[in-house]
Amino acid sequence: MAAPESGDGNNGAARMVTLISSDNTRFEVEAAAASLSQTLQLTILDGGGGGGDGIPLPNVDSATLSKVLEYCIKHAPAAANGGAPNATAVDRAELERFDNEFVNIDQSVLYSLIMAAHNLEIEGLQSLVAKKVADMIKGKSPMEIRRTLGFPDPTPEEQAEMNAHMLEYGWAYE
Amino acid sequence: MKDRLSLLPDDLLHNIMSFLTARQAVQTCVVSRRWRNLWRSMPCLNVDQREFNPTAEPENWTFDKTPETVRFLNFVDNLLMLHRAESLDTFRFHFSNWHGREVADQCLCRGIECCPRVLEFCYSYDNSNYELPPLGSSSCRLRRLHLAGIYLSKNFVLHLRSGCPVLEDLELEGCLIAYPKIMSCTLKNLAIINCTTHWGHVLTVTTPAVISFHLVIIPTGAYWKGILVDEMPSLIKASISLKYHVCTGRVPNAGPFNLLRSLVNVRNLELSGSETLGRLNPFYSTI
Repeated sequence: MAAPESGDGNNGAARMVTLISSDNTRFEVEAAAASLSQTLQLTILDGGGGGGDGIPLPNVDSATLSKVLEYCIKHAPAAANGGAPNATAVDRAELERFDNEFVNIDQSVLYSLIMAAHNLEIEGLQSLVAKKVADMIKGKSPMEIRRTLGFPDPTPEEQAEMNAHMLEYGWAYE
Repeated sequence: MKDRLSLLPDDLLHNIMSFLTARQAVQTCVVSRRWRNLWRSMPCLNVDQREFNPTAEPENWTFDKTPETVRFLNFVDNLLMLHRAESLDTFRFHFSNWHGREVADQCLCRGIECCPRVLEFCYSYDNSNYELPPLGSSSCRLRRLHLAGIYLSKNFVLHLRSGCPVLEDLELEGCLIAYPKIMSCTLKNLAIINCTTHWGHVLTVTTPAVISFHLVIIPTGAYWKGILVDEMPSLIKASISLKYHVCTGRVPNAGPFNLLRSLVNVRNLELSGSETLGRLNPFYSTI
């Protein structure tokens, strides 16, 4: 186990923090990766999360948290460089490839990620998952969207309502 | 059982919708009761005329409106009438033919009065001299401004300096910069791509806080007279491209050209275009 770093020197092992999921699993990650979360960054800057304490995250389960951290660890180096100005085309292409793979997941995981990215305020992840859902909606009819997003089949009453709305909103469908 | 997506709060669903065009976003209202009125309050509007033209090519000028154009104008009318958000985060508007102007002013005024953080406005019809309505005090929150194919009047250029207190990103593409003095103390990212000035004008750029600067010049017609760039002490990344114009055979070598002072601290420099090295030659001799 890496010893929590004291002081603010850059030499030696990177500072580690412990995050605790809602189902009490402990995750140890570099502070730089966890700091992609605006919420966690404040706690970490205050010196929290080190040693045996850990930061409890009552809204995020372990499956979701491990996925979130996978994202943070991959994106941390680029974020540390101040993002775009220094990134090479190769680095950017690699991150893009990672992102595409990353959201290729079950919808229930995707929705959990949307909530987690929101609660933890991880801007890049919020956009990534929102865009993925938007891509699932694009170019589809209302019924296709319902099926894609896993909505239950409409009742006859709902179906009638949908038809009426299609007519009312003809200006967006023409 | 309710689907999980519909359980998300409005702002998260709005975030998803921000990646759709306005037309696609409106269409989601039919999907279920949960989505019925979401689009009316969405803080990101992305209106694109090209969606209504199946060819996706800019249309030639025609006096009569094509059915596609009529549908587009009708869409914008309804959208503006029924959309109710009081403030906007992002407003994007792209019009691609002559008739788009009919709703451009109306649409832009509505967009501007909502004090957007991000404003992107593109006119892809050739030879445009479309002038923006005044931004006024509604540019107080404006962080990113992207304009393409627009006529930039003196009032507008002066407003950039004094009326946009938090503007960080400015991208000008294919614009006619009628008053050739770009000034801003807040800009961090600046891109000037294929822009022109009036006959005889030298473009001066005074943006001391810029960290990333992208410049592309292809001299068309006889308009290119040169560029003077003041110091950019914080500049980290610069990409400069001066190109030979295939049709006119003009190279951007007339008039003053001064980028040297601005490139002093740059760490990442990308040069491209057939004419760039020749023009920057004095720079190399000083390395």
